[in-house]
This record gives sequence, C-alpha cells and structure tokens, in this order.
Amino acid sequence: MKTEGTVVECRGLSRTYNDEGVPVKALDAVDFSVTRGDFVSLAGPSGSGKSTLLNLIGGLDHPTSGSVFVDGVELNDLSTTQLSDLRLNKIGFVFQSYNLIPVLSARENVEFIMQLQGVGTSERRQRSLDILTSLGIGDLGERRPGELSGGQQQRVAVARAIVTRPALLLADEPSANLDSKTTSELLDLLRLINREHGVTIVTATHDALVMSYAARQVHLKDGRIESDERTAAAAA
Amino acid sequence: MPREAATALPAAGSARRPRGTPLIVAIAWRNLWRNRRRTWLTSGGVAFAVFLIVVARSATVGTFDVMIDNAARLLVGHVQLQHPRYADDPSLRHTLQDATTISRAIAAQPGVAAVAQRAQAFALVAVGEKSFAAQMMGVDPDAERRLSTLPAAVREGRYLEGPHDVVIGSALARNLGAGLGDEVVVLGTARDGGVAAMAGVVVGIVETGINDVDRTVMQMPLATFQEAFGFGDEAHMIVVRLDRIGEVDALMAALPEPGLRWVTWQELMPDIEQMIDLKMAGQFIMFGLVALLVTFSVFNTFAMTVFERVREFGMLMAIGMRPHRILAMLELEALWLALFGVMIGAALSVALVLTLAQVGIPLGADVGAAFKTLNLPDRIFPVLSWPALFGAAALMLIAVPLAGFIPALRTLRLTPVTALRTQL
Amino acid sequence: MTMPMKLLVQLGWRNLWRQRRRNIMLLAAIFVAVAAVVLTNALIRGVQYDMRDSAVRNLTGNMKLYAPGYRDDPSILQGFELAEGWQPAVAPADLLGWTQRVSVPAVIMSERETRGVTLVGVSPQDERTQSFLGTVAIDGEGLRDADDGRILLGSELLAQLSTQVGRRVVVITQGADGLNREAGFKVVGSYDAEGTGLEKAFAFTGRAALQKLLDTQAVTEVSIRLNDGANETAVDAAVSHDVGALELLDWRALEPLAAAMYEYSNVAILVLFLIVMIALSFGLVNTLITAVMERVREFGMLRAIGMRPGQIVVQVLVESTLIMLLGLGGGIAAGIGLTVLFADGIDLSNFAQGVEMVGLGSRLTPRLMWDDVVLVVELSIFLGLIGSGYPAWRAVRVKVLDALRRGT
Repeated sequence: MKTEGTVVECRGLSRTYNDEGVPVKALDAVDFSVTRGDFVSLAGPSGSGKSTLLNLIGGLDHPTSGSVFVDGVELNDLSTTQLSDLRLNKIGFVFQSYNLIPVLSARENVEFIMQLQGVGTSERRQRSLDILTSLGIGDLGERRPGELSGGQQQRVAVARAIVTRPALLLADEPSANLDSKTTSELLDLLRLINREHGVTIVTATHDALVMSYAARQVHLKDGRIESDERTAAAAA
Repeated sequence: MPREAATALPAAGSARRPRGTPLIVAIAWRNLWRNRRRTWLTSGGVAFAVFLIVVARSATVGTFDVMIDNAARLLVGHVQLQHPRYADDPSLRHTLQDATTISRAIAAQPGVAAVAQRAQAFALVAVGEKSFAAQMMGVDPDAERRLSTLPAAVREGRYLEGPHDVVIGSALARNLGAGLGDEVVVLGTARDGGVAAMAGVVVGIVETGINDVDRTVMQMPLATFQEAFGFGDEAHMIVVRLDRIGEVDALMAALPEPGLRWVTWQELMPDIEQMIDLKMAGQFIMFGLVALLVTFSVFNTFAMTVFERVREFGMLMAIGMRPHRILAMLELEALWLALFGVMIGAALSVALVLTLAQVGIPLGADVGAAFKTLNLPDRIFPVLSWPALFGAAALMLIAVPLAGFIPALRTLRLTPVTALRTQL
Repeated sequence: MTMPMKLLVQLGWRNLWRQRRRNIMLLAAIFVAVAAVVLTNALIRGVQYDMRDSAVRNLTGNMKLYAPGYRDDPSILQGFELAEGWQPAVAPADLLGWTQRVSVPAVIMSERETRGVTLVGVSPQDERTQSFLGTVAIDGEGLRDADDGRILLGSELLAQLSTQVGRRVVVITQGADGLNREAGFKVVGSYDAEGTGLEKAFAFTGRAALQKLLDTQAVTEVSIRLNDGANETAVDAAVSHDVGALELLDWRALEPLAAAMYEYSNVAILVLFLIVMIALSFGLVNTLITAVMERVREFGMLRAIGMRPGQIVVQVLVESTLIMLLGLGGGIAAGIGLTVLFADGIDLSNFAQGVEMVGLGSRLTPRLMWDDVVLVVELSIFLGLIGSGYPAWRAVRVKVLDALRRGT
C-alpha cells in the first residue's frame, strides 16, 4: 500500500527562541521534505534543532519564518483547533515517556483517540484489540499504564499512534527510557509498521541504535542540516 | 519547581539566618512561598474566617450595646434597688424607706451617671366622661431628665414642672380622648386601703414607640404621688444609670444595701438578654461552620503539599533529617500559614470596623423604622470586639496546625528509598 | 464542535479517584456546606413563617377592615355595621374564614387591682380559623358563643389582678352613647399564650353580649384569614374594591415589624449561603488548581495527540462539576434528612421571652421549601463552574511544548 508523494515539506524553516533576552537560533532556514513511506531519523547533539524540527512538523510549535506542509496542508494557515484535528487525524505521536493517560487501561488508551475521532464503539474495540494483538500485547489490554513495564508502555503508545492509520508517525527520543534490548524490540516494531503498514516515520534521536534502523539519516548541527544520506538499513 | 527550590534551601537559609531563630522556622516560612497561589488561597480562607467573626461580632456587639442602652435609658436603667419582694409582688406596701438618703449615697459612687427614685401604682384615670386604667409613676422630674429618655419623647407640650402637672402616653391619651390642658382625675387605692385621689393637668403627651409605655404610662411629680397614695419619704425603686454597662457589678459590690435587693438589667429586661443569647447562638453556629470549611481547605492544602514533596522529603531524610523533624517543619509551615492569614484577616476587619464605627451601617428605611420599635437603632455603629478578635485568632492558630497534622503524619511512614523513587 | 461527552465524563470520573484522599476531603467540605445551608434555610424559613403566622394569628388576620377613624380613636364610636348578608370578596378557595369583632379599650378591676386592657367581643366559632383563640390552652372554660356574657382573661393579667377563674371582675368601658358602662363579668377561664404580651393586653367576651352592654349593633373590625398560597395582593385589591368607605389594611401594614423581619429573612438566606460558599471556595479553587497544575504534562500530551482546547476546558469543568454534583447530592440528601429529623421542632424555651420579642413560638420548626433547595442547587453549580473557570483556563493555556519538556 505504498503510495508515492511527499508527506512533509519544509521551506526556509527558522525558529528563534528567546533565552532570557538572548535570541537563540534553534533552526536556521532549513529546507526538508519526507516522502511517503520513508523512515527518517533526525540526529544531532543537544540543541542541534532536531526536536524543534520535529515539533514544527507536528504543529506543536510555530516557526519564526518559513512554512511546513503536512499532506499538502500548510500549518501556518491553521487555527489551534484545526491543528488539534490535524494531529488527531494525520499524525501519530510517540514520546519518550509518560505518554499514556494514567487513568485509562491500555486498550482504553488506544480507543481514546478513536473516540475523539467519533469512531463507533464496536469498531473501536475491534481495532484496538487487533492492533494490540499485532504488537504482541493483546493480553495486556486491561492493565493500566502503572501496571505495565516501560517497554510495554511504549508499545501501547505506538499502538495508539498508528491505530488511526496516520499519514505520519513522529517519535521524539522513543528509546530514552528503555534498555537496549527493549529498544531493539521497539525498533523492530517500528520497522515492521513502516514496511507492512506503509506508515511514514520521522524520529528525533541521538541513539545510534535508533539511527541504524532508519532508511534515511539526517544530521543536524546548530540549526542546519549537516548531512542527509540513505543507509544500508533501508535494504536490510 | 519544588525540587530545585528544595536543594537551594539549606544554603540560603544558613547564609541569612537571623541570630537565635532556629533554621527550621525560616525554612518553614520560605517553603510557604514556594507555591504562592496556594498559600494566598489557603491563608485567604483563614483570613476570611477571622474577618467574618470579627466584623459580625463587632456589628452585633455594637447593636446590642445600643439596644440595651436604649432600652435601659427609656425607663428601667441599668440596675435598680428595690424592696426584696417588689419584683414578685409590686404592691404599694413593698417600698424603700429613706429613699432620698439612699439615692444620694448611690449618686456619690463613681461611674454613676444618674439616679432617680420612683413610686408606681395602677389606678383609674378619667378625663371627662372617659376613663381608663393606667400606670401612675411618681417621679423626680429633674432626675428623670438626666436618667431617662422619656422626657425627651414628649411629642406635644412639655415635661413635668409644677406639682399638678402630668404627662401621659400617646395611646393612653387617644383612648381617653385627652389633649393638652385637659384636667385628669386619678382614682386608686391608697397604701392604707383607703381611696387615693388626685387631680392634675395634662402638660405633655409622650410617644416612645413602645406600645406598652405609650398605652399605659402616666407620670406625675413624686411628691404628688406620695401625698395621693399615702407615702412618706419612700419609693418603690431607685433607678440607676451608669456610665458603662459593665460597672453594674462594681456598684452592687460597693453598696450591698442589706434588706434591699439590687435588680440588674438582665432581670429587668429578660427578653433582651435572651434575644442576645439566641442571636449569639445562631452566630456561633455559623462561625463554627465557616471555620470547619476553612479547616477542610487547610487539610487539602497540606495533603497536596506533602504529596508533591515526597521526593524532597526523601532527599532530606537521605541527608540525615529525621522524619519527626520533617513533621515539625510541616507543622511550622501550618503555623506560619495560620499566623499570616490571621494577620490579614485581623488587619482588614479592624480597619473595616474602625471605619464603620465612625460612619455607621444604615439598615435601610423599612427595616430601620421597624427596628426602632424594638429599641434597635436605625444605624449600627460597630464596636470592635476584642474577644472576637483574639478568639478567632486562637481558633485559627489551633485549627490550622491540627488540620495540617493529619496529612503531615504521612511523612513518618516514608523511607528515603521509596520517597526518592516516587514519580510525580 | 464535537464533544465526546461520554468519554470526557468517564475520564473525569476516573481522574477524581487518582487523588482519593484530597477529593474525599473536598467532597466532605461541599457535603457539610450544602447540608448546613439546606438545614439553616429550612430553619430560617421556619422562623419566617412562624413570625408571619403569629403576627397574623394575634388578632391581625391576613387583612382587616376598620372604620377610617378607628385607628386614631379605638372606641365603639368608630364602629360600623355590615350590610345584611355581606361576604368578603374572596374566592372560596382562598378564604380560610372571616369574622366580625367589637374591640374597645376597657378598665378591669378586681377587689385589689386595676388594669387597662382591650376588651374584644368575639364569635368563638369564627375565631377557630381566625386567631390564636381557637387553639390556645385555656385554664377553666372557653367562651361558649357570641352571647356568652362571661370574660376570658390572659393568665398573666389574672395574676396581676390577683383574682381567679370563677370570681367576678368589674369592667368599665364607653358605650355607644359616649357614656361609661360599668358591669360585672364572671371570669370563665384564663388563656395561656405562652407568656406573650397578648395575655396582658386582651380580654375576651361574647360579641353579642358586649354589643348589648354598649347599646349597639355595630362592630369595630372585620378580620379575614386566607389559605396558604393565596395571592395576598390580588385578594387585597378585590376586597378593597368592595368595602366602600372602610379602611382595608393587610398584616404588613398592621404589623410592620413582623413584615420587616419577614422580608429580612429572604435576604438572610442569601447572605448565609454566600458566606458559606465563600468559605468553601478557597479550598475548592485551591484543590482544583492543583489538580490541573500537577497534570500539566498530561494535558500537554492530550493536546499533542489531538485533543482540542475546548475539549480540555470541558474536561476540567466536567471533573469539577462531577465532584460538585456528588457533594451537592449528598449534602442535599443529608440536609433534608436533618430537616426531617428536626421536624418536631427545636426547643427554644430557654430563650422564650427573647423569641417572643421577635414574634416566635418557643419551638423552632424547620420548613423545607422546594424553591430554596432548587436555589441551592443552581447557585452551587453556578459557583462551582465559576470556581473551576480559572483552573480550566490554566489547563488550556498550557503550552504543549513546555508541558512535554517538563520532567524530561
């Protein structure tokens, strides 16, 4: 189900923060685009701008100048509510930790986002069970986040992020709180959904293991793209 | 954020610690200001309780003082000296002998504003063809002018001067069809059982707004009364008005007057005293309720504080602070919080009461007019109630640390390892 | 905007139980406040209606007719006669009853004492619906009928006159010709109006017997009692249209003090409610703000995965409304329970004379009014929403990025 085309298009993207009166350029006139079905890792040291770029793509942050298109829609033109709906319908998020609703069970966390979309009860249940099963945690659906391990929590987060079949999955330091074994499992999972489900993935990380799974490695430094290359991992 | 502030605390505390103040007291005060909004809200509740108690009590004390004083000044005074049986059986026989001498002795006491002798009896009053029963009062006009507001309540004519002058209540005048200058004839029973008779001229009509008085009272000079009813230098009561109502006990102690009986305003006007008691009971229930609600809010504040700072407490224990010291620190925070709230509440309420004491609180036309008949003023001048101020302060200074204590107890169950591992 | 209310309510409900201890305390505070307000409202209403009833029952009626000069000169000379078959212009559904009285000043003398009173000639049958005479405790006998020529005195007056039931007293009063009548009356009984001023002020005899003594067919007043719930103003207008030169006065005009206290009670209920709610609000707002602030990350995450700002606001409001409704429901149930528990009245006899001064009986009976309960519910929810307004605003102002960065 791979479809050709551009999912993300950034043009002349800059973001300047005000750090106690001193302007800091987190992103400096970056042009960047992602084709559908790609698996991209944004890498670079702290402050290189990788998280800023990811946040701008996700509509969580507003550029100082330049523009971002997601699936052909320019984010600058959208209201707060429209941005919410864009994230709800087109973008899936996986954060480094604490990213589940603590009072809902794993299954309910997955269902939550479909409920916001207005998906019917029985379809919701079926899809959440299917996705949890396909990610290997079908038997943990009734546990609350507090009763799950870190790796299990991240799997639920991935399930929640992809259950709505988003055009784009954004993962910010997904391995930050995981040991290397769990990280490998999570990355296998991401590769699987990238290949099997055709979900476009962009991840910001400084973890070499994560980078090694990506088909395209983008390195940032001081707010600019330093290198952008296809890797052997794409073929692996 | 809490964690950063906590690590900064010991250094800052030791550097600028005032001499002699235990560091923990300063830490407690500074901790209070880590969550400003919460501290303001919680101490705002404490301040509200103090404010409410002080203002409400001051307003009512002001009302009661004036109410008692107005009622006392109309006729009955603050305290009376009577024959021991007069209160139960107000007959002509139960009189005080040598009333003038005793009056002089009372008048010489400090704190006495006015003294007046009176003799009273019910008799039939006739004006022309109409007759009605009235309470005759033999009074000393000059003394009454000092003691009673009744002389000032003359609506038509003037107060007593000559020996044959009488003044009567407005409703009595209406019932009798009597006007100024009309001759009245009084027929009653004298002390010896014979007929008491006298004639007088209406020189004044009195309207006090008190139905009982306007309907029944007729005053005449004491000497005229004594002559008509067969009295010597005797009276039924010696009425005393004091400079301050609180001096009643001192006067009674100074002049025990064996064989006679002092009757205080509480006994003379039991309705007023009970109404005060009733109103106070109602107020104290309300105060209790408000204090309880504020206490709930303090409890919650400390439950939240303890919950948020578990990791900090773990750190403090890890560096060697004992759990009971942490508990003590929390209790000091509660005490600071209470003190802060009490100060604000006290300052605001005292400022308001002192301002209103000058300006007065108008009651509105309808209520004001109606309250007049109850001896209530139509404008309330609050009197700052020190007992309410200290009582409210004490209540809050006890209730707040108590309410904080229960959630703070949780610190005793903490161990450094579990506390440090707690995720927020 | 789509608002998945079921989802938000479910989420709100579970969130309440995350901080069980804190929310139980908040719930308890709302519960206590609401229960206390419901009970005190019922007590204030009890006082209010008690005051009105005793004002109305103390020979005042809901309204009275007088000849125009009577209030200045309360004598039989200011009497009037009603046309044969006259009825007050009141719908039968509103009318509890009416009666005519002769009310004149009189002097009462026993062998030893003399007192002035108002002597009232009544029809004892009519008074059952009209005044306290129908229900008051009587030592001895009551009056038989309008022709009963004996006299009923208040217990306190009886004591002041140093006489007893069965003895005779002499009454002097002015007749219709302006001349005094003097007549002996046998004391048929004494009534005990709980030590009120009535006992000293009023003596009763049969109306026809008194008219005979005064040589008149006239009466001095007509008293009308209405059923509870009758529209007093409308009845007022209808009756006054019908009575010609006579003066119609309702109880508010006749008893201005009771009327002022009656109105004052309406204000007192609101003032008390506001005081209690202000005291409650400090803890409420505090707890709700904390519930938002400690979940900043969670709100950021919800925003990031696509929850709209409006939905966040609604979620906070739902949480606080849930807790308010829980406390409110429990508090109202408990308040009503307490009202029922005290339905027999609270004994105020320790304050007997004080409560008499403000026109109360010696038992304080709560009176639960549905309108007051509804008002408490409405105002509480309204105040609850205001109280959660700030926390909700804080929640929506959370910057997604800042929130997500926290604790990383």
